[in-house]
Amino acid sequence: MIFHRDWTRRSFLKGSGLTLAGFGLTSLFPSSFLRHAMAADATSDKRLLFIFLRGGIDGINTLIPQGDPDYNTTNRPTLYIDPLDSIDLGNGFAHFHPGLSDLMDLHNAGQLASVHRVGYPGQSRSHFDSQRIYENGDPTQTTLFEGWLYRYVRENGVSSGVRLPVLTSQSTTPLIVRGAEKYVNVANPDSFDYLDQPPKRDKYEQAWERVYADVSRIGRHRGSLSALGLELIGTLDEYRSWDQVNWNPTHPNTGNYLFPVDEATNPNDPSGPGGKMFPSSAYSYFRALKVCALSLLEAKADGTTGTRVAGTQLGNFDHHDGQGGLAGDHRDLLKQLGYGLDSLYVALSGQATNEPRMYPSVWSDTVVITLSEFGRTTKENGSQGTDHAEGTTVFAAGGYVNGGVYNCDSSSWPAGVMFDIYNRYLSHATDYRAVMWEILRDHMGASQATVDTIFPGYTALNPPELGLIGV
Amino acid sequence: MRCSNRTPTTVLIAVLAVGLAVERAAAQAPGEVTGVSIDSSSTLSWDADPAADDYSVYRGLVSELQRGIGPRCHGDEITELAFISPADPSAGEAYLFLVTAESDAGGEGSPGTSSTGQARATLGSCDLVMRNHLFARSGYCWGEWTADRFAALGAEGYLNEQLDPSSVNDVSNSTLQLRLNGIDPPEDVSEIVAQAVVRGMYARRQLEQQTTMFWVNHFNTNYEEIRPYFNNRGIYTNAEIDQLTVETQYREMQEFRDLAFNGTFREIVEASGLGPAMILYLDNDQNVANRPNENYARELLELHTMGVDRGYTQKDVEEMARIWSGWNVCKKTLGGASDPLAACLPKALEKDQPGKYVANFRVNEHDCGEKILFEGTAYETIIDSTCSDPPLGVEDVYTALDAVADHPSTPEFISRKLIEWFVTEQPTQEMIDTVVAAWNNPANPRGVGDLREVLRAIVGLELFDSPDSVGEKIKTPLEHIICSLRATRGLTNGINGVQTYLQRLDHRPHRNPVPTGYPELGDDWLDTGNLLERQKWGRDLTQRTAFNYGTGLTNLMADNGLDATSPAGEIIEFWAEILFGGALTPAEKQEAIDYLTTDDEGNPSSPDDTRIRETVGFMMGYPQFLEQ
Repeated sequence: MIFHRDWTRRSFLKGSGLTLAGFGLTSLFPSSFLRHAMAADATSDKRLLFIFLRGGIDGINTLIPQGDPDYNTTNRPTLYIDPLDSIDLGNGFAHFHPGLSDLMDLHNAGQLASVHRVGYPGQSRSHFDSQRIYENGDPTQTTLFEGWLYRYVRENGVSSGVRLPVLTSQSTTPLIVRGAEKYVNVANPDSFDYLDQPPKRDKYEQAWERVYADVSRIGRHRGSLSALGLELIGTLDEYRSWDQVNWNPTHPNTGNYLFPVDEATNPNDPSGPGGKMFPSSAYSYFRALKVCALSLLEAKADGTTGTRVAGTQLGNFDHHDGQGGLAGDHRDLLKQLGYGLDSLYVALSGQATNEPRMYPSVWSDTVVITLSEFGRTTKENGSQGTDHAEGTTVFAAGGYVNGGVYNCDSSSWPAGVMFDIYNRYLSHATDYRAVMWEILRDHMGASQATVDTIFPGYTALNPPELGLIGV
Repeated sequence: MRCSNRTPTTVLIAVLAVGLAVERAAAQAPGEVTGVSIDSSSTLSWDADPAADDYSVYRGLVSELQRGIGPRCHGDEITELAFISPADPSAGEAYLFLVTAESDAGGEGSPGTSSTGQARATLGSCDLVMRNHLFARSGYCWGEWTADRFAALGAEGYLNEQLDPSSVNDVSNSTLQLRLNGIDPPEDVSEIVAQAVVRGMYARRQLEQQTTMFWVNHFNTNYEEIRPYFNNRGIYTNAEIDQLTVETQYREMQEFRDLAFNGTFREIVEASGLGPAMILYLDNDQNVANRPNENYARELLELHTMGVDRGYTQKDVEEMARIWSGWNVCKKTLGGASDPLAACLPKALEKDQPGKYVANFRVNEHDCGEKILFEGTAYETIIDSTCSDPPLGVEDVYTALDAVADHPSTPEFISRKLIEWFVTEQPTQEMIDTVVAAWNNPANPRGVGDLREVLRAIVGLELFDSPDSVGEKIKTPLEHIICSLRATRGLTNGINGVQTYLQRLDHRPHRNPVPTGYPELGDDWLDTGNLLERQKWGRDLTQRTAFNYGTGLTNLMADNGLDATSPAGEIIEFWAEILFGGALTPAEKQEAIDYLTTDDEGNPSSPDDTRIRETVGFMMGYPQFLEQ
């Protein structure tokens, strides 16, 4: 059982900072900050976890259209995966790359939606433009620096009463949750704290808290600095209580650690790098995933703790050269993705072993999604890799997700579709906004009235949806 | 004291000037400033003081004064007897003003005493606040040499000298040379990142270093995406690959350093585009006739010159890709290095024959057809077909760069970015117009696009060294780290400690995968994790005294006559002046004094050097240390 420090004191101190705002400086605080600090109960215990697959994942070698004769060694001389090597998903058409074998428990449980041909009109083939579009929710505004998930949180009052409604864990806060109000980003989970132990730490933490609460001059950023300083100290209190370093659940079947964050927790694998299943470069991803999972589990019924929206990223999908087929870079990343998604499933559904904390399952309240800025060219390029293209694969997993394969069967995958665009690119069949909005509306309980704010122009666009969330 | 009857209320305090400047000189301080009044158009005026060379105007909120917070610098070095202060306070607030007289010999007069007999305090003095502001914006904050030089030359003289870096002797700067020894030229990526820290920390040419980092960031390249090219040669050891990769980035950095003060925009954009680092980073080596790669073409227009959606179309991106088709990188002999058409060294000789990796033009991979840029606009540029004489295709890029540099979107976009970097997050059109006018002045020593004259116009903008700019920007993590070192007589090799924090703060020059470069706007940096790591950094650094990672902050104090037995208030004043130009509120000073004079449990305890170091680290965690 984990002991939680009472952070009521922090709430009180935050309140005293706000009292100072009564000196005519109220406008320095984002209004949502006020709402956050003062509002009453949580409105939702639904949870969302996203993993952004940066670099543009090659959907064709992920959710493989084995039934399409264009998937062949002519188009993909070194990348082609033989159907005997890939995993048959049972619809007579789609296979998983064997690197995704860890996803089969989820798939067989009917709680994994594997969606192919996701994109948007006027696909940008620039990494940062297209990442921005996937994150800001509006393909017509490549310079909008506010996230659609941020707008969901803001418009639906998700932050009400919750200290940490949103938590991300990557180098800096991703655009998808960026906006006027700042949410916590844990860039380095193992060092997300001050350097010292109490009483020294308390001495300066409390002094800083007083300094940051006392807005002493009006500069452009002073209001947000003040809010940020208080937010940080309040966050550290709660984050410490999670004690993530000492949470190392394992898989009930294999006994492997769910989150390989160092040599000791990295499962042995004679065929892997250094005799381990994962390269050490994967540790930061698993650390982030672990913190995200834990933050969702810490969201208790009283509605004030833990997070509701968490997310991180997995990078390096930009395989212009040396992508690899059965083995290689792409396969290694898929292994990390599959293992990670399965670990989230195990951890969030109360199945984990080596788990003295006995967190109850939150799986039926959770959806995990992946996003990626684009797919890759149908034809392999001259350097055993693939270039930026269009439609790609999205995964969604959760207790109420209608599992199965979407847009990758004989009826939804017409002949020649892999060369639909400019004779080079797989066209998209489903708009990414449709996937995300379905999840926000049907799982997270987003109000229909907020749709055009979250995804500008959605109602007019009226993109076909897939029915990903069940009841 | 007089109150104007305008709404909102304005309180005027004419200050009785007393000789505060006793520490500096025995010279007579200016007398009392009399006749202060404000008119209906918010113009302050006062009577001349024959002893004064100039005046400082302070402005504060009455509500803050009630909390003991004095007015802050509002107008500095005012030589007239009037000052316009048009901004109104927000509803329910009132401004108070305070004017002091200053003489060059005697310094600034005292703010005097209030009607209740208490000494008036300003939130720092104009002189120190504005001095530190200038240091922060033109370089990397307060530093010992910098402060001495400023004291000798004054603000204008200091800036003029900085605008002429060759007149600032960094060769005799033995500390800099000692620290560069071994990392210059760099042999791996950590050494070029180290240069950013070491030069920022120790260089006297502060403006040159800030400006160089502007261009490094503007023409961003990423080590990790250049390295595979050398790795794929298949002929080099890892150490050789590291060295060859970083050499391409070092070369462009040093060209930017030179051209930023001795060149034009047209020259600097060519140095970037035809440098092997950029060719490899943005894939122009894969851009060939009939199989275009638009990566560089798009960024050239969008990020490097004109700005997104500012006068070019998708067609122009495609034309630009055709123009750049055929350019890649290879090793050439030193004699052939500057000739894009010279032969590449054959593979068998590539490793051992002396030479250089440079831009190479492959005639047969170039799309020789006609290209049209900005078709149908006033800036339409037609590049004739070279199919009848294919080697002439090498000229395409020069013609295209001329066209892009001449397009009016380019000086606008670059001026805006420079203003954002040096002056304000919210450039006005008027500011941009001023800088563009300097850009377009044919009388510039180097003509149109003379980068030194553009920079001169930037630092000449009224807002650049205006009190209205103080604290309005956020230090980037690199600036934050270097400023902390400079304030504390920092000891750094540019690697130990600092690179861990730069990584955690996600600010590593030459290693940014995103072509946009790092952001310059505060909102892009401010999040909880970033604040946490900055606060940790300050405490971590100040605990250390090692030669390659530490500070000599107690030595700096000793050289200024302070040690652990000095009164706590004096110690804190000393650090407040260095870190904040003295602009700390009484409460903020008291927190620092309390920190200095209590143990970890909060019990009274005499300071020692360890506690002093901790206290300075604590003060570096204040919100205003993130500001500049």
